[in-house]
Amino acid sequence: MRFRTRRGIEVVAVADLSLDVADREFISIVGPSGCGKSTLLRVVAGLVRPTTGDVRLDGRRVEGPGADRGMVFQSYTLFPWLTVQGNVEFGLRIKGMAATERTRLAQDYIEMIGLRDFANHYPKELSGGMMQRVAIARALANDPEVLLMDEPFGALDAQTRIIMQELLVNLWQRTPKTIVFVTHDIDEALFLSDRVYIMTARPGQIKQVLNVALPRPRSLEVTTSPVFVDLKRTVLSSIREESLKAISLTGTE
Amino acid sequence: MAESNTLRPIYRLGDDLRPHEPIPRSHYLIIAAASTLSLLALWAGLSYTGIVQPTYFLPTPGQVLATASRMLLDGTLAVNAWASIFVIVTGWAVATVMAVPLGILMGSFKFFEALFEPVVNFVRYLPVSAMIPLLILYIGLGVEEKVAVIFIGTFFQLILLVADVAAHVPKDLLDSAYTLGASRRRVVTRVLIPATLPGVMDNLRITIGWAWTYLIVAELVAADKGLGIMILESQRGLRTDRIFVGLVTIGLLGFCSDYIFKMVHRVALPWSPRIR
Repeated sequence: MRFRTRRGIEVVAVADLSLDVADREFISIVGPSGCGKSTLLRVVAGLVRPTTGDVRLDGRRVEGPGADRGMVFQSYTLFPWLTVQGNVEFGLRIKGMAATERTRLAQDYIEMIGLRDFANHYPKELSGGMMQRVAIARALANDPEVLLMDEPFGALDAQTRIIMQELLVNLWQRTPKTIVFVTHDIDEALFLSDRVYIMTARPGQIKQVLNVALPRPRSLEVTTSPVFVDLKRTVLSSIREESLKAISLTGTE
Repeated sequence: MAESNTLRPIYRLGDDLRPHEPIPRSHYLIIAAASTLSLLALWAGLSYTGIVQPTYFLPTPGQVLATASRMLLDGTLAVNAWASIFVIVTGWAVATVMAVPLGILMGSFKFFEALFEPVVNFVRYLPVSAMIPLLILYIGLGVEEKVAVIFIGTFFQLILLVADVAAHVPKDLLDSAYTLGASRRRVVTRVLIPATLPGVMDNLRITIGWAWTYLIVAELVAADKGLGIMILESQRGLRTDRIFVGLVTIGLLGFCSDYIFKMVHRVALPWSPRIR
């Protein structure tokens, strides 16, 4: 994938990279900042067109954004003029689902994220964690083949983050989906995923893939287990190597 | 703690002068009232004592009140105010109906930005008063000419303000709609346009305020009634009391329109982050 900047300098954001994600698998992508993790997700979502290469979903070539690939962003993207209920119903309404079915389905998801009492509240009345929960429910209710998550908890405080991670694992176990999760939080990646992809500095390539052989369902205690700590050490040194490369390349910091 | 408090003064100005810090509501109201009252007191002081010479330069508050009540009773104030309100609201409404859609197009699509921006950016620096001769030539001396002045004064400003609002709708908001299956058309109608509403409302409120400042310019030529022409004619007769009545009326009408807009915003867009 290649991009041109405004000044005409060609930046290869993501180089030859191929990812195969199996059905109902939870994978994470970690890497040094600026390695193109988010770009990769946007390409998969169809929001950015790759210069070369393609994205295939079940063998079909992806041509643009679509409801089969849901996405949760780091920034708060709830529609401020819709209530929690309205936000969760947004995609279903576009699909043309009948009102009663739509309402019931949205209610189920709102229940699952524990916000039943807030169903008729506007986003401005919610906390950051609540808004991201609704964003996840909105994406899941739409029943995508793949759920893309671009640092969805990046803007939240450390305590809320952990609660959100547990909630996401729970949701995923109840409604299994293929999830591609981008983060720079290594604990988060290991705690959530079946596999962790480590990317190199720009131009981003896959440097290493780690299988996270931790039993499910996972609880927070898993993060102190020897296997987890071991994996974390591997990822840390791998990313550190890349971050150093990235810094010496740009000559900043 | 208690022992050190014995010498603390009841009120310290320094406490209310910390940047970006809130102050007690009671302090706020007292300061606001004090500022208004001192202005009135200054006016009363300067006019009743006769310091300002000649005395017709500055009428007393009593004279202005008397003139105001006379003009209210004989209907001249209402006739003039209504004429001005009609001109302003019509000119502004026509500008709004055209500028809001165009501004949204211009702020959202680079295509339309390239199409409109050169013209809009050129025309908005032309003084409205300089176009009056042309307007008279084209559309005559009637009320249409006055409406056109208000229209030109607000249209080009509003289009750029609305374009700015539309350009600042977060990209992620549109992208989430795409990933929920919305088509480009739906993203525009269901996401982009609603997302601009609070900003558009704010700018409508601001531009109708600007429209009042064009009133004198609009009524400069061949007006028979209106607050602007009333003020202009009062100058000829040295009727400063009538000028004051006109000014205060314009101020109050501007204040009312501001209030109406805030109420409409509150009722029509209860979800707006600008409303608490």
